Amino acid sequence: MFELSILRRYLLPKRKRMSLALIALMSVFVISLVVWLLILFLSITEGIEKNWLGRLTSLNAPVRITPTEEYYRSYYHLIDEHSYAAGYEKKTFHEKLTSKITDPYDENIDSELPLYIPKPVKGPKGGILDLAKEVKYSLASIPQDVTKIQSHDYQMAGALLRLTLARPSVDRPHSIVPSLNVLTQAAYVNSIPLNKGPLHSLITKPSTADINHLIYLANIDRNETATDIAVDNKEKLANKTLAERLLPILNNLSIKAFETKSRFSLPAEVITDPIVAFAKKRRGEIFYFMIPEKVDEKLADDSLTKGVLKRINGNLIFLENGGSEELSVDVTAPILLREKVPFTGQIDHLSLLDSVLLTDILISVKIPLQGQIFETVVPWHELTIADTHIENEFSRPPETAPPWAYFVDGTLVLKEGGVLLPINFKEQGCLIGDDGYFSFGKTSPLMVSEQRQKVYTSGFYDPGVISTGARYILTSREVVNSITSKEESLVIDPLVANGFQVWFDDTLKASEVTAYLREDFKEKGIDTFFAVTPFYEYDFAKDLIGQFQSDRDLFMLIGVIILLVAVCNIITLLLLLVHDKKTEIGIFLSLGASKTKISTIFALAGIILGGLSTLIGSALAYFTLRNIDGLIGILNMLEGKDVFNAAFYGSKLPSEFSMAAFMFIVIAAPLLSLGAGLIPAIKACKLRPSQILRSE
Amino acid sequence: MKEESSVIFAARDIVKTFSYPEKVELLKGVSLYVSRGESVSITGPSGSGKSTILSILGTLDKADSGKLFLFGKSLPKRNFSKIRNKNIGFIYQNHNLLDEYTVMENLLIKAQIGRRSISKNSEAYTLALSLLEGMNLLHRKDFTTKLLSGGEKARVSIARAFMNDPEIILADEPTGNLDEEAAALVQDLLLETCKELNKSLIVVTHNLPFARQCDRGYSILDGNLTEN
Repeated sequence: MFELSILRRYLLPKRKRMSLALIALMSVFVISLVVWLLILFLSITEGIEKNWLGRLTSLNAPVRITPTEEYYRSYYHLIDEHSYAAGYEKKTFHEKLTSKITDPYDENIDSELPLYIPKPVKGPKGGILDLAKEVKYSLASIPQDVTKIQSHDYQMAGALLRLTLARPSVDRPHSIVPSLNVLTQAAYVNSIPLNKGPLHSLITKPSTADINHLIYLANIDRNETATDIAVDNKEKLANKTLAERLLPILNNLSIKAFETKSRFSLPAEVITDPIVAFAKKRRGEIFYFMIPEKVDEKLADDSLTKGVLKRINGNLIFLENGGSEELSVDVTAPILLREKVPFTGQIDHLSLLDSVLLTDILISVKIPLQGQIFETVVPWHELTIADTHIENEFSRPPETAPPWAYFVDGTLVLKEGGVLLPINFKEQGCLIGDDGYFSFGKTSPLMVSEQRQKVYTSGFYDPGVISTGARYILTSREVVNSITSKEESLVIDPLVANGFQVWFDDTLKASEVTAYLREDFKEKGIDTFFAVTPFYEYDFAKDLIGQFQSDRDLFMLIGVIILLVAVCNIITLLLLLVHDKKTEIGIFLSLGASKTKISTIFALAGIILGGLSTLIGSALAYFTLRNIDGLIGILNMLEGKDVFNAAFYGSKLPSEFSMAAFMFIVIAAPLLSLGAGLIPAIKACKLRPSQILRSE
Repeated sequence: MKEESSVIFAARDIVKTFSYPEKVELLKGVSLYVSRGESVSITGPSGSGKSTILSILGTLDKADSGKLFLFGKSLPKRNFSKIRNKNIGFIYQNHNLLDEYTVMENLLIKAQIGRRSISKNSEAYTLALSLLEGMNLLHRKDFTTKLLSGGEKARVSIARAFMNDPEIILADEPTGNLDEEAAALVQDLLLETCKELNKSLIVVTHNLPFARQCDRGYSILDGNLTEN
């Protein structure tokens, strides 16, 4: 084809034509760079946006269905209070869903209904519509292209959480009498479905600190920690032996390493071979010895004298560095470890079974110090667990249930009164095992009386980034019910206190699901009773999502402008080419080439340069994204600090290649390049062959 | 004006005015014709509009008024590219060859523009070979034209004009840049090839012996064309 054969000649670099080839290469380089940058930025921002959406919708589903005021005024809701069959109590959605009766009112038993109660809403077949069940039917009929749909009803209550934090006393760390602090926090108490659900992925595994705390709680005087609400329970616990209290913990974990508490005293008899030690002297007498973990550790304190502990004729002596054996002293002072040293250990089960306190439980340990292994038996109270594997997922119920939240075949199991606290409670010093109560008010005509519901910290969960997330406490439906059944809630807006959460894997399909549900509700005639809200309409998410949207639009605009500037290179290149090939163009025109053919050559040149640059830039972006961690590592190294703040960008930058960004670039870059090619093409068309050829 | 059935190309009342840098009416209603296989010369002093009339005849330039006829039919007012490709062959004083292309490519490009096959077995390729043979340039077919002598370039230019088998050859001072010997060779070749292939030739020239060898001749003076 004429146009392509000419194009090939124009675009391929030739000797003596390197200036044009260099400009072409520069154009390709600049556009590739812009494409690379755009795809990289858009991919990363898309990834960050997805992360944030994930964090925003971690606690609240992408779509929420809540009852409207119309619902609370409906016959369906109000009738329960007037029906014997419903126990004369309002019902939650869960109770409505599990109830076999749609209309509990029986005019033969129940008294006449007040006038404000409206007529029931009837379905197309004449029967009373079961509003809650209709919602469930709608949820079950969501089209198949929205995958991994899960929905559950939720309940929410407001209460004051009061947790007793029993901790070792600062001045008496080994005492079994703890120091007690009370943490008070106003909180939303939310129900979490126990069967498999998306919220389960938010639950964090117990930490080693939690385990050490549980062991500490098992050892201390329970009566001392008993708060007035849980006295009976504490007493029951106190009646258990230490082994009975420890086994639920120890049976569900494997201890990988122990650690000495600071100032751990090593028995002198375990030292057989020479070991480097520091002696602390006071008034010429050795007060204690300190053994560093490694030989080459320097003296940190001038008051310490470095030397060697060694055994001569069965006696352990301390030989100062540079001193003679004659000056050595027999060791009678305690031998302390200078720092916490992790090591393996084996619990003596016989001592465990007979134990009353942790001091009674013996652990055979192998302590690595300065290349030697020191075997000894240590009472547990001198040790803490340094590393452990904690089981919280079981395929069948464990023989002894652990005190932390765990899963049996995907079903969440919480201790009685067990709650999951947001992880920020950890910053306030909460640990698994801390207990206390929810306090809430019950209003009577004369007074508001305080009601209490006991709670036990079973674990923690990550609430994501919603502003109120730090106040959401997850617990079983029974605990929430126990509050809502007594509480005349003045704290929680009834319009959001009970409803349905709808989860699915692709958060971005929220608008599709919302539209479907709204339409289906309308068809069923229940649209006035329920509001369907997608995540981007949640009050707490609106601003952030709006910010992301405007950021994306702004960068798209900036991207297009940068791209426009970059393709200006193509215009320059092709204008030079037109000028350079003026005679050739004149000859082609005289030989019968149409202006369309001539302009096609330059328009195609624009597209090819743009397309080639897009491909190179996209490929570079793809490989950059695949190796982004390495690149960030280099950037961090060069900067000497973390370039990207983990609080905003997450623990690692998103590395998924954005197909949306790629499609945008694949369309925009060649189109702009085509536009850039058209300007020289028009100039080429305007050349007058009669003048060019004559002047030549 | 004589217009017979053998006339294949004619111009009637061509007017061309240039307005820059000052208004000059270069052609004042020029008419001419050429019959099949006939050679026609146009002579005149420099600046009299010889090349302009050739550009207008070759549809490279537009007349202010007047008409062109091919095979007795008036040419449309636009889209002349096909006519230039199929019906007209140009020869220029400075040859206007594609310097970086080979001799063969210079010939074949015209066929390629006309979307004709230029593979080695194609009709266009065979024609190019025979034209080069006729011009005694077969041994130079793979040379880039910038390596050729002036006479050789002129012969390539003539060969290219005959590509696509056009009816009319328009030559603008084809021997202008050549020495006497080369000029004689080129003019003979051109006239002989036209006769041999039965092509019409309109040649603009200062070379009076060459003009006299043509079947008919026109002179242009003060914008008026008169048949000698």
